[in-house]
Amino acid sequence: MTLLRLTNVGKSYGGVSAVRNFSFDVEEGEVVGLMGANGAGKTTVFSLIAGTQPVTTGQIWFAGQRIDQMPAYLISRLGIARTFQIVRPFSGLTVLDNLVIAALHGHDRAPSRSSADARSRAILQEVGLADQANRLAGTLTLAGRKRLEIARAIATGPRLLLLDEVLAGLTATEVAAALEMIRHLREHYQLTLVVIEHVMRALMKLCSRIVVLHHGEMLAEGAPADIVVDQRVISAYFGKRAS
Amino acid sequence: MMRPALSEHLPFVGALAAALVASAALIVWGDEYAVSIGLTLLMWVALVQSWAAFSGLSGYISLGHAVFYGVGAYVMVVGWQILPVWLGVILAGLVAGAIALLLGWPSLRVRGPYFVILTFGLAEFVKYIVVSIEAALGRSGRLLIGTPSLRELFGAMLLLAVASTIILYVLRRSRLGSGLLAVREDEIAAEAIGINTARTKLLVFGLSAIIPGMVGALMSLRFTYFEPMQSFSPVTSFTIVTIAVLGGSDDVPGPLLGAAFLVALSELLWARAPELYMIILGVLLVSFVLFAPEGIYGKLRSWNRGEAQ
Repeated sequence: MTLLRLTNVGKSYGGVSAVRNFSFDVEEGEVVGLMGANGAGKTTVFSLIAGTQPVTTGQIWFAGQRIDQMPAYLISRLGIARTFQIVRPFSGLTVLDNLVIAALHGHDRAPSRSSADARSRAILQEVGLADQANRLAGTLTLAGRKRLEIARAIATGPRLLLLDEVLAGLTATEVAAALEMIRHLREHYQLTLVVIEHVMRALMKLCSRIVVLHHGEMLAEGAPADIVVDQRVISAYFGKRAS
Repeated sequence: MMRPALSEHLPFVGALAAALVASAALIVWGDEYAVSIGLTLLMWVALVQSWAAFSGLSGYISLGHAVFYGVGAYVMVVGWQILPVWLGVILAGLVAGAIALLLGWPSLRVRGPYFVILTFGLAEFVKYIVVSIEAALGRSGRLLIGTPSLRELFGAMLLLAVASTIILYVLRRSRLGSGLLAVREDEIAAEAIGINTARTKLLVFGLSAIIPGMVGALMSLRFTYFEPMQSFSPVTSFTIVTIAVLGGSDDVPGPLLGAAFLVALSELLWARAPELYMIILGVLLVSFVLFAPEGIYGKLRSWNRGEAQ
């Protein structure tokens, strides 16, 4: 079943178009990678799906419902959760409370505070933040805040999770651990994922399909193994090979 | 915040019961002076707890809560001898709440210093509307004759102080209140986890005006006189924020400590050193902002946390 469908989506800021005529589908249970050089429009696509910004043209459908005119909070309640490239934890609240609030308001709303609390603690356990539950979120390390960002999104009980460069800025060991965690979470919560990432090896490991954006347009789409040898992708990332 | 165990609420219930016993003793045995100081203390508690329910939790600092106090007082005097007294008090609260929804709708779209200035400006705007209406009616002030006794007013104010305290306590631990805390921390992230931030802010802003409206009504009965420049005085808003800064406004004990501290200080200094009072208050306020921005309660809490670690 198609969970998410974008048809001819466009976004312009004044005269600059950040995304042009972009269409793609995500099937339920799929893990799709979204890649492209800086400024290609990846995060804008996430903001359009999540309703943080309105589309200029085109339509977005989620589980059979048109969502491109909806405010962000309604989209979240329908079951789309996102992380932010520059993390936005509730710094003045504890790690646990960051999740409890999400569990109380998101798609799968916890009926009571105690059930929100129980769900949040279980998620913290899975992302390895259980021992930090009572710390203020603002005092976590970058790796910790990235984990919290994912954990808070999952606490809303989403069907579709949009991960925006959650591996950027992490050390090699941290990347490996985070990848393992994402894979586990995906299985455990039966999530559909769209992942923006620059770490190519991570995309290869996670995704069944990769979509490449270039200057706001789709450049290529296909299995990871095909994408890495695609000449258009290689030249978009690295420029043309010197002869 | 947010632990479901019943035992967690015991300190709150215990403290509330102790405050009620002390107040009852004051009504029965206290002299006129003690009861009137008690009334002032309860007034500030009710005002600041209500203010903190919105501003403390959302981070949107309202510098216009005097308008709700003034509107409440105005409703009371306009309805005087038309409405039963206690019905007038309730109506004052409802009208103040409705005015808050009206003022909040445009002003809650901006935040930070813009919101502060806007609430201050709107409060002054409403004040001068009332001044103009009163001038057009040819009234320079209104007298209320036959108001309830000081002890009756004290009892009613006690109800409001207790109600506002319970509201803040419950709100802070509720779904609605948790949405407001998320708004304070990061509004975009709050929307992204399913919080209707615009509705949450407006609803609680409206709620936070009801008790100040009722307090204004009671205080007009206490002063037995209404004059718009005095009832809508921005000093009320400034004092509310001052108390919140002194005590802390993140949870119930903050406004209580702040109000007790300010009322005690003013009673100590008012008669003995009236010319020093405002200077000392100013110095204190600056010191708190610089060295303990989280207020007395916040400071106590962080000391506690430090000891625990």
